[in-house]
Amino acid sequence: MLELFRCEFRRYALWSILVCVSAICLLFFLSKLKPLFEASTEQSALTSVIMFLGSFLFGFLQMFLHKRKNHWTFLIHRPLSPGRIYLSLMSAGAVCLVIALFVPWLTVTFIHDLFTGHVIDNRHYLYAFFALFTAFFAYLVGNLTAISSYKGSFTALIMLYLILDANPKTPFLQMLPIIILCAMFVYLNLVSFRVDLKKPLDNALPIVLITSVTSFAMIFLLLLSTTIFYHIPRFIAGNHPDNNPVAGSYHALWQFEQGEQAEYVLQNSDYGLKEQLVDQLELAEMEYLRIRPWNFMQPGQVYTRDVQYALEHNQTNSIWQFSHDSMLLEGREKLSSEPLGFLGKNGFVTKAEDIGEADRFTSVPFLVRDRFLVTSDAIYELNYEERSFLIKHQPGAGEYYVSGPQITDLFVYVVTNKQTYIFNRSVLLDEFQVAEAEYVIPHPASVYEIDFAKAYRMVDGYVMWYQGRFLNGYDQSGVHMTYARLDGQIEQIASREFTQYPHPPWIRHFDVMISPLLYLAQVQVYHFLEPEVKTSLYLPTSQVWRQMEKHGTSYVAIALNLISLFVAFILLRRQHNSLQVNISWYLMIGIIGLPALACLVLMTPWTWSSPLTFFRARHA
Amino acid sequence: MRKLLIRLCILAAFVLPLQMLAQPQLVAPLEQAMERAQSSAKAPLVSRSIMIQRPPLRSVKLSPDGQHIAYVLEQKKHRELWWMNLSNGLNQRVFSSTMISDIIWAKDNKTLFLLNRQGVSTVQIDKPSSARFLLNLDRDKQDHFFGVDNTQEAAFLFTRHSKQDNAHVVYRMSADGGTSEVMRKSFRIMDFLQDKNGTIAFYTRHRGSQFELWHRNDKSEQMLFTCADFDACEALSFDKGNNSLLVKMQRALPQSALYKFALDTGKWQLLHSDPKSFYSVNHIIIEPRTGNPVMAGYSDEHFSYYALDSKHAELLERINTKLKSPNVFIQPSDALDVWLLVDANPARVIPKYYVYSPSKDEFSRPLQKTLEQLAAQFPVMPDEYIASQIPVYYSVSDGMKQQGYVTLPKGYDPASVPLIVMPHGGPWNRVKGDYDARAQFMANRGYAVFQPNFRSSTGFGRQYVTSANKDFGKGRVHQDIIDGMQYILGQGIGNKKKLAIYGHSFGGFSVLGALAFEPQLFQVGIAGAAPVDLAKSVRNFKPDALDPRGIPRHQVFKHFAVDINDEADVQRLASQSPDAHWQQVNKPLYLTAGGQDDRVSILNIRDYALRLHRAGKKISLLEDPNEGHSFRQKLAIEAYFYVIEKALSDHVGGRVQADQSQNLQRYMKRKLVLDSNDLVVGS
Repeated sequence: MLELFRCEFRRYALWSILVCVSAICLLFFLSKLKPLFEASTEQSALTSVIMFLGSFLFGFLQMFLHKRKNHWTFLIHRPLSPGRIYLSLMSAGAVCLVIALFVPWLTVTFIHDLFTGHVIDNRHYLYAFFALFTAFFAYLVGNLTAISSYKGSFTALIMLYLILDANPKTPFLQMLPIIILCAMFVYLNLVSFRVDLKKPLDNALPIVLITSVTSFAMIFLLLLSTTIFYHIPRFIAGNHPDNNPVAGSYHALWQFEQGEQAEYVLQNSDYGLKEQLVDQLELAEMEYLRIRPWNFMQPGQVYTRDVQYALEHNQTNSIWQFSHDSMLLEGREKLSSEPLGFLGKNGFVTKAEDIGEADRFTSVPFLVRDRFLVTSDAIYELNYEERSFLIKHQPGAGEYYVSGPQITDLFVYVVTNKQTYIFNRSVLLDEFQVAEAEYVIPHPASVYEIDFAKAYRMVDGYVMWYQGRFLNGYDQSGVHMTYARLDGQIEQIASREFTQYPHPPWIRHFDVMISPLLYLAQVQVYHFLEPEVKTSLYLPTSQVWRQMEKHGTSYVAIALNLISLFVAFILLRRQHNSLQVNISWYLMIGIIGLPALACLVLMTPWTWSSPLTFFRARHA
Repeated sequence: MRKLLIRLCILAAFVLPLQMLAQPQLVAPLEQAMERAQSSAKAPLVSRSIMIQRPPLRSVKLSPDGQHIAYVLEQKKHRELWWMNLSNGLNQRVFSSTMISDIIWAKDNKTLFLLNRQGVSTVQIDKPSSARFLLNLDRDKQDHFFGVDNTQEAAFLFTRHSKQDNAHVVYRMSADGGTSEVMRKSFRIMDFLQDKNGTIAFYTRHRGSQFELWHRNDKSEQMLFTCADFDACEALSFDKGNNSLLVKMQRALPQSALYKFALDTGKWQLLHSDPKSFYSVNHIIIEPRTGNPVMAGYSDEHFSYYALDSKHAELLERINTKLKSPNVFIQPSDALDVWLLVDANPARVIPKYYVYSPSKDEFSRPLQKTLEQLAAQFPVMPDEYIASQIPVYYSVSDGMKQQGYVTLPKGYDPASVPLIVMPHGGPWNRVKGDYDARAQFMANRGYAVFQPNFRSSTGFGRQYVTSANKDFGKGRVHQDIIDGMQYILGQGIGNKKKLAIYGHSFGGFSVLGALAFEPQLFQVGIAGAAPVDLAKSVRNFKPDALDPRGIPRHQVFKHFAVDINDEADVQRLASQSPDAHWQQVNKPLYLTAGGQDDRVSILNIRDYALRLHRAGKKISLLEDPNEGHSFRQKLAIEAYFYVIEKALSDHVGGRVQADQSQNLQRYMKRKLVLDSNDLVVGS
């Protein structure tokens, strides 16, 4: 094994070292252009594409080159079991990845930590491991794609999206999914690496594992397929709802101007001053409000998820960067990087030894503009010159901020889980004192179900307009209007639920319909990883199912499952699989449904021999 | 012969002193005022936050039937609209808003039109929920609100420029939002007069450098007469029976007066003019039944009314006897049966409001309770601390007679106090005899304040304005200010070694000029929103910007200051502007500027300040990026006053309030971009 490992490693060693050196140079060059550990969408996207695509291609190429006829014969007939052969090759590949990806990142992080004043936490080192494991996973998927008879193996890459999209609460939860996936795919590669590569999997466990993972991709592909059999034909026929808004539907809102939208929403309302209100909204100044909760950062999360890098104050030439290790902001002079002290929950602290536990933040604050810190329970304002600190505003009992201060031309607003606070701009931005809101407006629905809001400026207050596709529940879109007056009066004007839909239910509920249990599993996994985050993805499943029952798509989902089982029965009959394998398939298709059937079709070797028998007999 | 000569000499000895007394230099009242000021007890130092407190009650308006009063109450962060029923005293709030600038009653006595920066809103006083926008006015597109249409129950008139057909259209909009076109022309209508049916019977247009008044009927339109710029000619009412028009304009007399113009004969009849022959007529009260004018008001040294008939003369006498105030403004009901009297005595911060019934000869003060409640919430400077403001008249070096005001601090010897010269902005504006917070602030700190109405000031007739002859900067207008100051010094007011100059806008321009052209005369200059060169300022104007009379600002400046399209004219004015003579400034200068100023570019001010700073001159510059031409936020205003106070104290030695709030300190540190005068220690 060692000899094989060495041989394989030597094949790619030089390339790995070249990539390593290039990566180090590139990273140092980048660090001259901008702070290297400042999360940037472009930097993250480019890094991800290079790392994952590169690793996938490397994994695929490595195995593909071995699959050439004479090479394969030479390789597989070594006095080693196929599993061990694979382990040797994989280990060599892994070491190459370590050299090419892990070493540069670790080196740069270490040098920054030692020789610069930038705040480098354990999470920055953690990122190196995270990146390595995700790249390793992509490499393993590449291996599997090359050696497996399963044509859909590469779709497992979709798991990377799910991994990167989640916002796990702890570093452990950050790493856990990717480590599990890597272990799964090492196993899958081990069982797939055999003398006859064309032989499909014939064990239950690999079938279950690969089907579970790639079913997510199948859902995505099946969703895309609606473009072909639904959307494009309707566009061609000229009756697609996007171009022909359905009267009475939520989507029809977009075709109207400001006043017309109000008229549309108030159509069947019994509000007494309807016409006057419509006229008013036409004339009024309007601001869009983003009500959707921000993704508050988690302590120890990888730096690529950071929303802000630091607070920069030009007048004092200082940068204040939040350290997840110490849960404090650490200040340094911009040019000389001379330390300036710390900033905690109770204010500025000059020396490290004076820091007490009470000073440390309990959650990672948002840094807004150059002087606001926002946690879920307070907005702080900093005065750098005086080194003083003020609690600018706090939410009421039972409330927490879901976003920081957002600035518009007319006002500044902050959203909590229950209400929107609207402040006079100068009060919040210019005056260093506790801010009192001019308006406190309760949300008409859960803050997670409001897509966005609009504030129309009236003579004596604001008319607030809330709209969301799930405002009243799953697939129950609506608009709600509230009049908030300067003297504190809040008047509910109108609420409209849209019962007309542009698309049929089977298109609207497609992602749930084709695999309800997979939808549930996805929700549970996200809920496990980020328990405090509540989005429309986390609507109670019972609510989703009720809505599907109402529109009949629940029955379609059950029917699809049964049909998938029936088709699986027909297909599996033509194969000579073991009972274990067949039971596994029935189980997976029975649980997952149509996506699992798609996996079966892709996993089974097939050719067109005649229109009636498109499966050839499986090799014994 | 010899005896005749002796008699003539004796006669001259008597007559000449009388003539001198008759000259309107009013030395005697000034001397009396000086004595009174010196013998009064010194007013204690009043804090800045109180000095800057504006009267909380504004826009007090009497309904057309005289039965209600509507008013706006200024709260800390918003305004409240209130109305009071005068018959039963019921006083209630209509609603709160951040968007009320002014209010106007509609004819139906129930509807109010509210003006704000966005446009026009309306509300019915008994239905607060009826508050609604009616119209967005886009001033960049020359939208202009004319006023209430008194021929309709609840409607107003506005003009809008239609770009499609380049037409200026006058519209009528009712309180329910219904709009109808009243008149359409290819030129902008400056003013008009309607007949009883609401049709426009007379209108004024501006053409070239003059106004034209036109008569309009079903068949034709005819130009009646012209009046020159800065003439304020205005058709007030039309008497159909006599076919005559009441007009306010300048004709034979140097100032505007009230005339009757007979359409048939084209003859003019002077009805009333200023008895002092110095001031233009301002406000005419007309008897609705007869259409005859009954009173003429003049913004003279303060504000004075003169009756045109004996009945109203008697009424005015009663009012003067009761109120004993030099500054009363009369708002009558439509039938003249109820009068709202606004007593804006300059010896008082907050005006008093009286409702007067001429028929019953009864005075009442319906808002007294409200004002008493507000006094606790919004403390202002006590009346007994207010310094006296004395109008003065003097001749400048070319012989022109001019007017101004001097404010004398209480408890000080007028001859020894520092003298602050405070030229007004504009320059086509004037100082009036109202309570002036800035002058009082400086007087409270121990300074005498001289506010000249130099040539180009309005309200004294066209000649007063046009005699400036574009000679701004180092020219005639500057000389007027200096001459006026020399006159005041000559009266024994002010220590000539402790002279300072402060002004805002054009006043600031005058400050920069004073320090540049009289480098040894003033010890310090404080300038707010100061243009450094008028041509540069004009270039900064928006293309469609209008002056308060509705004339394009560019045009006004072109005729009376500088034509920016004429390079030679620009060079002329530039060569005598403070900008060209900045090197001569050798005394400390303090500047303030707003980033949102649409009249004076902050960049010009900054550039000027930086030049001085680089040359090692003493300069402080306070910039607020959120403020406009005049500061509005309370903290910004307090900082503005602080700059004046500290600058004057440091360089001419007056009182200063030692304590500063933490907010003010922070504000100063944040907004002071240059400070070689150590306005803030450690800045």
